[in-house]
Amino acid sequence: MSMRATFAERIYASMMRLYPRDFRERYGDDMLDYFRDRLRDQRTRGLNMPRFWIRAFCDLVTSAAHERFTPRAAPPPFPTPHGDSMLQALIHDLSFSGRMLRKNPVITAVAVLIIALGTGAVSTIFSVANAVILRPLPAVDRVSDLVVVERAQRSGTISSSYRYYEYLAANAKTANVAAWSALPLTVSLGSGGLAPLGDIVSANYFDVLGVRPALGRFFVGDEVRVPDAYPVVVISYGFWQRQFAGDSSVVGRDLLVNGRKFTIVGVTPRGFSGVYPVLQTDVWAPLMMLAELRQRGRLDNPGSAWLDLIARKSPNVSRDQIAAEMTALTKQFATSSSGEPSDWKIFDRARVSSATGLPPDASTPVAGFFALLLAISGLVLLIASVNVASMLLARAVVRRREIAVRLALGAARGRLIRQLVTESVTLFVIGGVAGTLVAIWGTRLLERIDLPVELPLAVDLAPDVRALAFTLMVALLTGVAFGLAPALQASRLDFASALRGDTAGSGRSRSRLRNALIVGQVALSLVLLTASGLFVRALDRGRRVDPGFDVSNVAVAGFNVGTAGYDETRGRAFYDALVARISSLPTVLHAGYARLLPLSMTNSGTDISIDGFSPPGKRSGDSFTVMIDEVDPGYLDVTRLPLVAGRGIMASDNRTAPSVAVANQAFVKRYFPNSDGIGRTFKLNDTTVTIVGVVRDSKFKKLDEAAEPFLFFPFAQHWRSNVNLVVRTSRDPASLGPAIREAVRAIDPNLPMPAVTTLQQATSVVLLPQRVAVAVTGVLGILGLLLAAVGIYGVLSFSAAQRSSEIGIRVALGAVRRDVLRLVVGEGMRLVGVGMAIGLALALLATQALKPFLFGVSPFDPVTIVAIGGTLASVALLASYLPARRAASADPAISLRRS
Amino acid sequence: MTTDPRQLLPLRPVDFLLLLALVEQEQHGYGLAQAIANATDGLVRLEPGNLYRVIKRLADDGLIAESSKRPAPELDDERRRYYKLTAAGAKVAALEAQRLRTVLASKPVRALKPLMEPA
Repeated sequence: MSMRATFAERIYASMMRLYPRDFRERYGDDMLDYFRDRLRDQRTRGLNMPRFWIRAFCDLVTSAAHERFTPRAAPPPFPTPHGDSMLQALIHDLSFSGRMLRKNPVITAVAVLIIALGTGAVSTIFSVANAVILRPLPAVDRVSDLVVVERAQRSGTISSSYRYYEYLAANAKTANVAAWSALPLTVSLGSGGLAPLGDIVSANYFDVLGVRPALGRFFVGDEVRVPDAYPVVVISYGFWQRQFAGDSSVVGRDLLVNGRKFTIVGVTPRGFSGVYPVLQTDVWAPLMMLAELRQRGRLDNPGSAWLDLIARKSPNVSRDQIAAEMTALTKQFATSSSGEPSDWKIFDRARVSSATGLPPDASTPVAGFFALLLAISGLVLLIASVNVASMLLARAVVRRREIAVRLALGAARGRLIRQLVTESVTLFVIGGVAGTLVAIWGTRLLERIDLPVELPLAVDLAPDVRALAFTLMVALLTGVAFGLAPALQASRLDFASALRGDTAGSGRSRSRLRNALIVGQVALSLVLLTASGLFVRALDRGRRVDPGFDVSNVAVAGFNVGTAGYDETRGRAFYDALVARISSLPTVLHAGYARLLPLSMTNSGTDISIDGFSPPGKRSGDSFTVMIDEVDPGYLDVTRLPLVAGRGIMASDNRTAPSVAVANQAFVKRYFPNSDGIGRTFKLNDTTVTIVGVVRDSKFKKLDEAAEPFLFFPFAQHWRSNVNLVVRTSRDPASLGPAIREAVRAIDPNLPMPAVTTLQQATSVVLLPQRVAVAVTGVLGILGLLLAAVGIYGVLSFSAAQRSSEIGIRVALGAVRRDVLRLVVGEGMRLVGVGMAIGLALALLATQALKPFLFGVSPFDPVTIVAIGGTLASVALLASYLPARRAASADPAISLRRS
Repeated sequence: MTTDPRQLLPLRPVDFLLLLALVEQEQHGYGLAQAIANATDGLVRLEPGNLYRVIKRLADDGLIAESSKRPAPELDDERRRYYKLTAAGAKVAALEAQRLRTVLASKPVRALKPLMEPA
């Protein structure tokens, strides 16, 4: 009878699994009691048993379904007097976690430090990515309603001409289109010249961006309708603060912009820096003032495409509708007789993209580069998390007794897991907060890096609320993810041995998890180190590429006298005077000019034609594009670009002399094969140009490019207002700065002082991605290696301590020190070996993504792999030797007694 | 948090029955089920699942609570949980009784034909 009753109860109890767990935990026992009473009554009364079961079954199913699926409509009207609400449980868990973490201050501090480094790495990279690509345009209203409009063909876009802009702006109904263009300016204040970046903007520019003036007003009335009549500017908040100390009477004051008097009418709000906020823009002028600000600038020139377009969506319009309308308008414009060059007709569509704060073509590669860096920093966080997880696991083993006691006293396993996970999440969140501090420090460090870029950059890298939220989110998620496994392990206990206080046999599955964590750490840090090793190799290879000219000991200073209002005559006089002064300095060997510097991301091409030569896909004598530069007689001497035939550019190649050019070997080889090229001619805009010299091939755009045809034209025959002064000196080229600036001041004190760098620096911009990558992956790689070493050390020390009685017995039975060392180190190195094998496989896969940045260094580069593998193996060996030595020198009598 | 007990009216019959079963004494689960069955001449028989669902709902609403008091030791079964009416529960039950009295005193109820007592 009693057997049968127990059987029935067991059936009932198992059916109770239908209920949600909390219901079962709260009422399960009582229900079972009730059931038992009912059953007893039924039996004593001898009632119908099948009916009893059916009723019981139906009751269970229906009420369980209700309990599970009926949502509680309202919060309970009267507070529950007793009971364990979620919030109370959480508060309890948190305070208990706090106590546990305080109880082991060293472990807690180390874990927090490790997590801080991991989250700090991710947070730093995220902050930079956030500042460059994610942060919405500052001070701009509802950025999500803004779109960038570009005139396009199937592949590629061109800037917009003013006529094209006018046509779109006048006819578009789906969006309000504004135009702007960046313009380097020269601004003279009482004290001297400045070279800020300006924007020249359409009438509705500020309206479209939804910006309100911080002071004064923006452009109105005739200022945006009558050309060249109203010289007015708006200045940035920063410019106002820096140059006018925030003086509120600045509105109405005059300013010399490009040599002409302009009146300040307003100040933009704080933070506003135009459509591309990574560039620091300080001055805005109406489009109508173009001719005053840019030489030969004519708004109605149909063949001049120089404007960028940004538009605000009309209400209830989708981006597709805008794109459709803009494309339709562009088609109409392209086929109309607008007077623009006929080969622009193919630009008959419009591309509409979101306003990201970066040029549409740049945002994808930039985002890709940051995604790569973020993934790399994610690896560090992963290593750190794995590290902390194995610490938690080790501690959970020590806490087996506590956990066993709590389980034996009736703690639910779920509740216990929740407690353990709360502990790890608390740890990770504290670590995440500390990681934000690391990120604040890290971004400050990054802001100090001098980028070899000429434009004024204005990027505030400091982590903002979004970066903070991201860091905490990451910390929270990793806390749950990496707290869960140890918690699950810890709560799955063998009661008997745990309660006996037998901490020695820590269970096979537990040590398997711990071993897996070690393997994971080693594998991940190998991936990280391989990436950084490859970047180091690439940078090294990039540095050793011979560019074909000599970058050492050359000082460089950029000038743009055009923006200072100089015409050609004044400009030439200035440049001649300057080079004369510089050449007379005692340490200067040669001085000269070039419009463009090689390998500095500035390129120029021009169309030429050669009699009898057919460019690919065209007829004989048709024009084709070659890369060019304009240089003066000193340039070849300064850069030591050797002549292989003929002569270099000479002072006699002036405006009255016949047009000449110097070609490189690749040019001659392609267009005049079987000749040395000297005396051969080509046509440039109907002028016949004679090649008078040939120079050796050198690099112009990229370090890994094949030799491209290139032409040097004499500066004296091709006036350019913006050129670079290049000076070869016998001393440190950077030290020429004061002398160059002094010479400029002596000639015209109103000119902005040029920044003086070196050719080495200017050409290093081509290695910028590698340099950034080496810096980031190097720091992160070393961090990852250290973390992995700490992890290996920690786990092996722990496991050696756990096995101390086993080791004691071995020693007692005659094992010598060397055997013990071999035992512990062997255990560590076995795991390290597995980790390295897995890591190597992962690294070979992952580093394929780095290929475009490697200058042909193979991702399978044996030097890198051997070097990195060797480093990792030696660090791992050291990390396992230390605990092994301790285990070997322990007195077996003591360790045996202790167990 | 709502504190107006009127918002809970009208009570479900089963809730009201359970509250009434606790007015005079504290009860454990099976005792409650029996009391309810007795009070309704066997019309309402609560099986364990539904009983504890009602108990849970009323406890969550704060109308009943687990009791720490025990009846005389010879009657007590130590494992069992006893339930008592909270002040809010008593108030709600009283309001429901009041509401039902008003219903019974209403004209349509009085106009109903009296039924023959079942034999």
